[in-house]
Amino acid sequence: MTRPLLQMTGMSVELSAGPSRVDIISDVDLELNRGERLGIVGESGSGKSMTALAVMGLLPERMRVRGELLFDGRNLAGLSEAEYCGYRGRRAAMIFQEPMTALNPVKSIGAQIAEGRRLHLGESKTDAENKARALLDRVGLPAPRFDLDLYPHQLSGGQRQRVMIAMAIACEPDLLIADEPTTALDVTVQAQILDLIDDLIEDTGTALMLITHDLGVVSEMTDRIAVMYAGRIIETGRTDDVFARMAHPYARGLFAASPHGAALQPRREGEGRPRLNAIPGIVPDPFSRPTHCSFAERCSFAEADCRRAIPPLDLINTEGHAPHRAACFHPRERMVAP
Amino acid sequence: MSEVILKTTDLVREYPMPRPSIFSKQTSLRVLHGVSIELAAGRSLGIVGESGSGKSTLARAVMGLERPQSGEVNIAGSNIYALDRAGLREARKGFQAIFQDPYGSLDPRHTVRTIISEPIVSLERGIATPERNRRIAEVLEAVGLPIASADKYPHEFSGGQRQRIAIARALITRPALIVADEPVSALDVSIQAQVLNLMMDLQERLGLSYLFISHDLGVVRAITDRVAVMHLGRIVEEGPTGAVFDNPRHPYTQALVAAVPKPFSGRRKRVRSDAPPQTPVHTATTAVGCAYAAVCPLRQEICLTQTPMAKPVTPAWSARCHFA
Repeated sequence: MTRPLLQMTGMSVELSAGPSRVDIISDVDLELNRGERLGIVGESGSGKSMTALAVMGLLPERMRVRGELLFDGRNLAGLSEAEYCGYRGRRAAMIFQEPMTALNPVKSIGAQIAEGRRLHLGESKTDAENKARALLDRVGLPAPRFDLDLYPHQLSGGQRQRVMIAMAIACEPDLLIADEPTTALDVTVQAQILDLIDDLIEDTGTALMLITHDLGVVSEMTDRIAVMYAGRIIETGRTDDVFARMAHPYARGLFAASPHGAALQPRREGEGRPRLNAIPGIVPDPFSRPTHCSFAERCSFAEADCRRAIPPLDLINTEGHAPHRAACFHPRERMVAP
Repeated sequence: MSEVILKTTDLVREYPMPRPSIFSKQTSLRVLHGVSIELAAGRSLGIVGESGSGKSTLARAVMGLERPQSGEVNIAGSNIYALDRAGLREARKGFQAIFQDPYGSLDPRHTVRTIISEPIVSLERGIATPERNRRIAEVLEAVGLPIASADKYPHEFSGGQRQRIAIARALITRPALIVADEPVSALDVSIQAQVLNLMMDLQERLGLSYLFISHDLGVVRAITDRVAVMHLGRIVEEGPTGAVFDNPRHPYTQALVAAVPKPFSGRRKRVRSDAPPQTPVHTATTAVGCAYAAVCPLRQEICLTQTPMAKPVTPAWSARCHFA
């Protein structure tokens, strides 16, 4: 058994705000093997983006990682800034949500793509630019229309996201983190970008960590998912297994609340519109998370024990080769197939 | 057929393009190519389309915020661009807006009371304070916020609550028509469902009509009765929401519906093509032919030489395609 590429064991991210300290992410156990595709799903404030930033060593200054965060066997928390600089972009690369703000507006796209190869691999300007040309072709921006001398403002949102992807894969990283890569894009463009990421992962064998709030996107793109709520993983397993069962009431609620075709009942003539299954209440603030299950207040299945302790992320099914876990004292049984 | 609350006829809106030099001829970009829509009282019409399709421009034209170069907007029977200032002020009580960003659309320095009462303060001059307070209490109750919220500031509320405040502000003039431009796109899924349910409850209770603009097909499917699909400033398909999404007739609608990632669909399956993806662009003026022809899988000779007209699929459903 080879060791996983990325391993988090009891990882927490702590925010110090004045004298008080609070955990933005609590006790996350997560593994990612080479060539695997992991989806992280959750709403804003669930800690999914912070998990990604922790892996990239890009956490805001007031935040600190506790616990173990290993990349290829090395503890990332112990790296110096200089070591981080050799790691970011070379071993792990990230695609951000908003391609306009993530690209440098005063540098040509060719220079931005070539930068990584010149810095990390010490390539000459000519070699790096030739490689940048090849990368642009690879991400579907062919010459002569898409010249290396173009600037980000001359491109559309989808084209910019392609440039971001070209930058991310320029040094052939082992891990690609995509944080809501298609949220700012139109659906038809989103489909093209997802196809592109899918192709690249298949061809290069890079591991993918895909962060999204869109259940449709994770379902189509990943092998395994982790659903996060209020800084914790509340359900994780093979994507198919999690979708088939949705053992945690939050996972189930999130699915029922989203207006996907599958969740919407067909409308009958003459009847009123069916209501969506909203989850009552709001996500607890990180400064006032309860000492028991943080979903208990919003959960329609909550019982007395839910308000006494934080449920551990327990195995709920040992069939199959990938464990299915949920942090719930009363996990739901298999759902009736929609 | 019930009463028509909103009717636009052949709306054309053009924006002047920047001139390369002061000697060049002024050119303009046509964003709406003769858009006609009709919304029956008490119903909701969804406008879907991608960015740049002109859906927000249409909303602004309907709100009386952007005068179209030609065409009419009739709300409750009167052409709002033909009214004088006093007439428009009176008419504005009948239609209100909800915007996308619940953070940007509420003034952070005002209390919720000031924010919500602004429409009646400016549109119903001289309204007495007790009456004003009664109306504020009425709309806060309608959107499910405690009366005490009136004296708080927007930063004290979450995104979903802010959008409730925005809805309360839209309701206070007791309008018949609400134009909602991406009202839930900035919200999380679980909160989005709460706000959509509230909008449906209010519609049924108060008999509101919604012009609901969104790029999210799922949201539009949940809340609207009819849907119009916009592509580059033209409505390419219009019909009952369920029927259009289940069985789209225009190739652009088909592409939109197919592009939405669906849970339970398993891993992506698609045809790999080596051709670079193309995006059709706005034409400066009226060009001959179908605007979607450049990327359309059904393209024939006729698509390049004749602009398709809206063809009825059923009496209540039409598609602007030669092969619909």
